[in-house]
Amino acid sequence: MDFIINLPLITIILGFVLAVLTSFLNEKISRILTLCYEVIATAFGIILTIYTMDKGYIEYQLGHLTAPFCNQIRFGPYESLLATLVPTVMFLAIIAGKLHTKRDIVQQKEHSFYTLLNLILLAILSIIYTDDIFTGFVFLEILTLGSIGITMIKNHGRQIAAALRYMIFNLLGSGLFLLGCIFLYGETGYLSMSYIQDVVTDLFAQGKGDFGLVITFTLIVTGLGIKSGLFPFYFWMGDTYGGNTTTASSVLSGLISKGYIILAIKMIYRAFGIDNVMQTELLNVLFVLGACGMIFGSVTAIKQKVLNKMVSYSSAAQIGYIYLGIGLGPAGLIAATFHIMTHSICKSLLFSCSNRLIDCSGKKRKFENLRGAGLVDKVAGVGFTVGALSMVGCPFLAGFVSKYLFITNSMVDISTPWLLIRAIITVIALLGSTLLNTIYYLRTVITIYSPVKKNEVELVRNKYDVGFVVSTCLFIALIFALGLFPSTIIEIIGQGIGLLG
Amino acid sequence: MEVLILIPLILCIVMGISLYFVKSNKKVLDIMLLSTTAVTFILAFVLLFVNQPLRLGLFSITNDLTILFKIDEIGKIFGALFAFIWFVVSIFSIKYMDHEENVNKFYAYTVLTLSFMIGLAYAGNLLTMYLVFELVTLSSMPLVMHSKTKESKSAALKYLFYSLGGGFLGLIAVVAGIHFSSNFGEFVFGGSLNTISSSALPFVQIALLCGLIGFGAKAGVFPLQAWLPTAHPVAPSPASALLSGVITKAGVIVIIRLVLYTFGYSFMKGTYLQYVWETLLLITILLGSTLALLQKTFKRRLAYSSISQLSYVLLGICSLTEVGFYGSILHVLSHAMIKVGLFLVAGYLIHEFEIHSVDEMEGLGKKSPITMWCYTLFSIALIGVPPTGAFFSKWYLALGSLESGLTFFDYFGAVVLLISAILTAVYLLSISIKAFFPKEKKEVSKVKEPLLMVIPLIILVVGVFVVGIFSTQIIEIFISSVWEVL
Repeated sequence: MDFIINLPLITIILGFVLAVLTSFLNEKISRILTLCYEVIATAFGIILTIYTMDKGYIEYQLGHLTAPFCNQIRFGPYESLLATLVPTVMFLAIIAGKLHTKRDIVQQKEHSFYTLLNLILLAILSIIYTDDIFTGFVFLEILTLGSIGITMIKNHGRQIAAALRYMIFNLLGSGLFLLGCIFLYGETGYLSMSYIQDVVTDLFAQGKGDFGLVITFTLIVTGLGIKSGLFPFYFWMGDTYGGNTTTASSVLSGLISKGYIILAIKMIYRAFGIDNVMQTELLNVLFVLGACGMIFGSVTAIKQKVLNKMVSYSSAAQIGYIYLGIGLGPAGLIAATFHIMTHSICKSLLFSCSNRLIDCSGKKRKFENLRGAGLVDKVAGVGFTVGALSMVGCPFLAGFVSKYLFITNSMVDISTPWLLIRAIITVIALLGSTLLNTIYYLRTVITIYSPVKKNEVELVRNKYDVGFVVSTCLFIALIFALGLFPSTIIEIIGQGIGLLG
Repeated sequence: MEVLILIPLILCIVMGISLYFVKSNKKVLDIMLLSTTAVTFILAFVLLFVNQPLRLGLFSITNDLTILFKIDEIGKIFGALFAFIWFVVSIFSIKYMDHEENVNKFYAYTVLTLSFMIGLAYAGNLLTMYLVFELVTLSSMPLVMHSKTKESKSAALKYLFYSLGGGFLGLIAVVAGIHFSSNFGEFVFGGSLNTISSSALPFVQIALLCGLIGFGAKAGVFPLQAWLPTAHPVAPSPASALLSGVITKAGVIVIIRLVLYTFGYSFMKGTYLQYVWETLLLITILLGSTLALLQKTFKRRLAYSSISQLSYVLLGICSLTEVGFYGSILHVLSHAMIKVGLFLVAGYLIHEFEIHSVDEMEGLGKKSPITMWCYTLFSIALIGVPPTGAFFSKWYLALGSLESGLTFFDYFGAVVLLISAILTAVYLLSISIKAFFPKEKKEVSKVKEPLLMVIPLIILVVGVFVVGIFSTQIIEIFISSVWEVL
């Protein structure tokens, strides 16, 4: 038995230790420890990806009993890849927003911000690795608490209201998920995903419990959908994501929403079994909701007068893309997973750059005040442009590959009329959303690069920040890497999905 | 030898980027611009006479998607045309841009756009073509908003919106082409489509239609034509010339690649696609010519004229006949030179006399005779008077339409071509009449016409006549071998 298979558990325990430590250390040491944790987690993720690409999936029992009597961790290339992505993005988000964190959060509370970030990271990693729905629920709640915490960390009236709204939706989602888990336990008698899947398959084969199981699936997926901001539950996004401090915005919209989606994917593929789910209409419903989200999210984003809120609501559209991919079945999941990666990276980049641009205009958030901001803060301007172009789907950038994968995978199988209609809807939704994206992102890009006359608007020169420059460069490099050489990643995702079931 | 394909591309990209950052005086910038376009032109011209097929795979994005450049008949001829026009326009822009701000950025984007246009001509498969096509849009957008006025910015946004939106519609066709072809969308004349099951056929047909409409946006085909008369006039005149005369041809070459080189003309022949597309094109031709007649702003009139002329070109492809195809290629060559010439005349008038409107052009024939004579020759050529290039192209286009075998549309197409030619005569020659025979005789003295502005015009006039006189040879040497494959 290799030592490597202990790494997921070590990462999670390390997270707990650090969360406790950072709660009483001062902010500087907390930050350094958190960053180290991020680096270690990334390194472990890479090692595990390489290891599992070679060895296949690993089942790892906690304690001496075997499943279903113990808590089991199960990971393959798919899980390991996502576990690499999350700490990487969080690391970059922390160093990008360091100055803003200092400015927005009172000094006595800053270390607890890092505590929350550690909790969030370990919760997402646990959700990725676990094979047990109750463990999934526990870490879902830790993730929820952490995310509400960082929503209101700014301690500002609007943020507290946003956090309350966010909490109500989130707890509703958690409640539905818990209800679903209870039903699932009642119907199958197991909490371990592999065993649940066996029983569900049996039940479907016997034609029994069809209705009850569909209700259970729906409860679980709806709960997670509400939490991640699936159409029509995305109206809390604006202030929750937009009004926050940079790191919190990036983490909330780039990673936490993805945590819920990853759990939904795991439930569908591991617990329910994709073949069973295909017999119900669940995926088609997700597909339609995703397509609606793509359009309506973009429309809401266009209506915004404030840059940050626009970037936030664009997440609603991007979450729609991901659910649309999930709804397309196993082929679409490749596209959806690739888009999870693309969106985490692009959204974090966009938030960090847009907050810098807003600083340039003297913290006025409206579009008209942003004119010329890209000329004053050049790095932020370039970063925003690359992020926006990637979102629009410009060639050679990550966003193009996602869109390409969505279209290709939608036409893998068009043998029946519904599948044909599905391919056409995919294409239309992508088209509509791309056009709307073009309008609001490129309008902003043109605005920030329009020169202003002297004395017309006063632009403030930002403080030079090494962390921001480094993280922006790394983000841009990642976007280009995913856009130019996606084959390795697609291969890992493809192989991982094969091992998921 | 294969590396030869990349030299013009890389040269232009490097020079474009360095122009962007150079902040020296304008002389240096001029020399950089001229030398880049001249070298590119020479290289493209040399490649025109390379007979062996060149093929260069750069790198793979995924296992079946590669960035591939290759030189075939169509690519050669388009590449040479693009480089030639860019060279001529860059001579003109030296004088035109002498009072403008941010000249280095304008030159930088001009050269970058040239690079991507050449890349588009030499692209070897659908993916590469699509990537470069989008880059052309992005790099030419700053040319539209060069003046940074509110009007130009909204025009640039409109251009971007239509082009990227159309490009995305086209992506559907590109993906379908790659997905259903036997060689991942590499261009082979006659197409490389696998046999498609009857259930998938409607999807592939709709995908191709999306491509025709989407990429048609770049060539101003109805219903995505509205950006063209907004975006072309607001740019500085050399840029309008490039946009209207050449960059619109990006849409044409992409559609040629899609229809003839990926899906193959047998896929489309006789299906409803051909009828739908032909209808759209005929609507565009009539719409463009009629609206051009109503415009008072000179550049807007020219932009509307482009809309109708580009649909001529596509009409030839839509006929799916050999003759129609020859007509299209010839019309691409003639129209590029003529329209660039006309826009340069407009640029001259703006630069020297601040004339924007058609009504202000009374009596200009005496003031600047060479320019106005060039204008008249361009007009005559565009109407299609022999022995200019457009005469032969229109002749072939009409023949192609008659041979297309479509019910009703075969004769109707030819009639529409005729009507549109008459409209062209009215909206272009009425200006010549105004210029040479003003209503009230005023004593005007001749002004000195700057040499750097006149020379490009004369080169283009000569070019138009050369294409006309040697049209048979051009077809024989460069294009006829394409159809021999079949």
